[in-house]
Amino acid sequence: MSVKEEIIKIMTEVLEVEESTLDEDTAIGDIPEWDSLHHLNIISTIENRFGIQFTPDILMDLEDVSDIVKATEDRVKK
Amino acid sequence: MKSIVEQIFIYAKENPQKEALKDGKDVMTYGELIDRIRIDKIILSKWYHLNANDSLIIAADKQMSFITIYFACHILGVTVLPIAPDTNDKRFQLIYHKVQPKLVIGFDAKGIECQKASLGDFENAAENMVLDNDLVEFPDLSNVADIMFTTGTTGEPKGVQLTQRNLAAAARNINTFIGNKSTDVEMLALPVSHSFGLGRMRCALSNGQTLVLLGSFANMKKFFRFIDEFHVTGYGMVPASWAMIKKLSGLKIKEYASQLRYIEIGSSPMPMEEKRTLTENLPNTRICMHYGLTEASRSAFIEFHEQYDYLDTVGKQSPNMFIEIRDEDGIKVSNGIEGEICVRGEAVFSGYYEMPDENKKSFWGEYFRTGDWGTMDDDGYIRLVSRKKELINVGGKKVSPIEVEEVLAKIEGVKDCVCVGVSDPEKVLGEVVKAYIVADDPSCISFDEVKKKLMHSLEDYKVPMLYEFIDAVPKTSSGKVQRLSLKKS
Repeated sequence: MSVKEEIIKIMTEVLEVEESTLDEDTAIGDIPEWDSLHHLNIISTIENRFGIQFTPDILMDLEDVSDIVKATEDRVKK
Repeated sequence: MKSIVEQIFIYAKENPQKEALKDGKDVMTYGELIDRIRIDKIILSKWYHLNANDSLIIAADKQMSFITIYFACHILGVTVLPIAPDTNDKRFQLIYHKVQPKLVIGFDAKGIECQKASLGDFENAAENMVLDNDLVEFPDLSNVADIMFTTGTTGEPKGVQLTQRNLAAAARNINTFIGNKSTDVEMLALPVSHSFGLGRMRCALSNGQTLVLLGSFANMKKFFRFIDEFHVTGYGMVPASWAMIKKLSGLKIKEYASQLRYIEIGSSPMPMEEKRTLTENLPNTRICMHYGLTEASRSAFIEFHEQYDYLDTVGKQSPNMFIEIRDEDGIKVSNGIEGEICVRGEAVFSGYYEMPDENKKSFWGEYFRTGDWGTMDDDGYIRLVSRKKELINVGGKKVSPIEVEEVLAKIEGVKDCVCVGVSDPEKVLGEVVKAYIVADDPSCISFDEVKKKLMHSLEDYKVPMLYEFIDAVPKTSSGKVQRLSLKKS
């Protein structure tokens, strides 16, 4: 499973939405389920699953699914 | 006193070009705002046949059209029932069948045959609508403006009826305490389906301020971009929003220390350390934390700088609000003695919708019984001990879960926690304290160690007897801990 696939899977589980509701351009707040508390939950699930840690300056730049995928890929490669 | 919508119209007539609403894409001036309110009123009455004393349910999404429809209802005398867009079907049906509204806006009411519309329908209809010359009649202050259904940790949702007087009085009290001016620009990131977010919207617009609508706090980049771009001078948040802002952006907020004039914080527990961090990093900002309920909006306030020595309290009664601590017989207790926090004032609601028995139980005369337990000192500072129904009864001794949680949260490795009362497995004490812990790494925490550490700071009976790890503390969308949901599980 690619990083992107795994992140989409995490997000569908946390947000309890169908995979079809999420694409790379879906941004925070675009769907009602993706609110502040769920966003934190997504971040901590990704951090635990991949064994990585996002710093605040990285977290601040996350606006949509593709941002999260890219930030995770960058950390996983390191 | 005038209704909020009348205050908006008066301001708009004098300042039609002033920006009222912004969302990053569109701008609506006060002149345009009142025109849209009048147009939406025509749509409601002509297209959907709503009249005074009818009601409607609206999924409260933070869009300009929600705000214009909301106030259109008020000038038409229609009662608004705002619900969260993600309300589950069961809750929706309970509310729907209880109130039988004439229209449902912006919500997919599955399995219900009723008149429905979307926010888009109003926007489309408004494009071809011509304003009539009818004079706007403003609502009587005794009209029920909104019915807010409480989140309800147990049982059925209760409809809190708020009159125009309640809403106007609350806005007046809040603006008096915070001291926000018409020149202030407020960012609204809170959900408008809850009384806090909706209240902030009313406070800002009745005061002639510009309101910037932001989807949610989660989009930090946009949050700071909006603060910069629109020169935001104030916003409202709950402690959970602050936790999120800190987690996602560190202390970047202090870069705006000279720009932010005020922050209002909602009433859920906030760790002392966080209160201090905010106070130290925003030395010029009025940081106002309220204590209140949907039933009694902003009953008390504390300003972190002025009342720094009292950060362990919820402050003093708000302007024009009156708080007394009473015992279980409704008798006022002496200062320092624990009792139920009871509130009186024009912002206190008029009663629960069609619940006469509940209404009788909820008041001592004019004083609303909050169900919260606390004390008042000689200077009027109120200390919240606990939600009455959440107090844990350990062998007849009352334990506040908040007190235990505060100590527990300081233990290394404990990220978050919540305590509830459960039946004593030994069947001796009635209830004992059970702690649910969210840990960074559960394998690094031994419950025996935790217990030993707690023994140093708490009386024996307050130390949790049972422990369990959980992934997250259940909270309402406004950040209130749902202890009772764990108690039931």
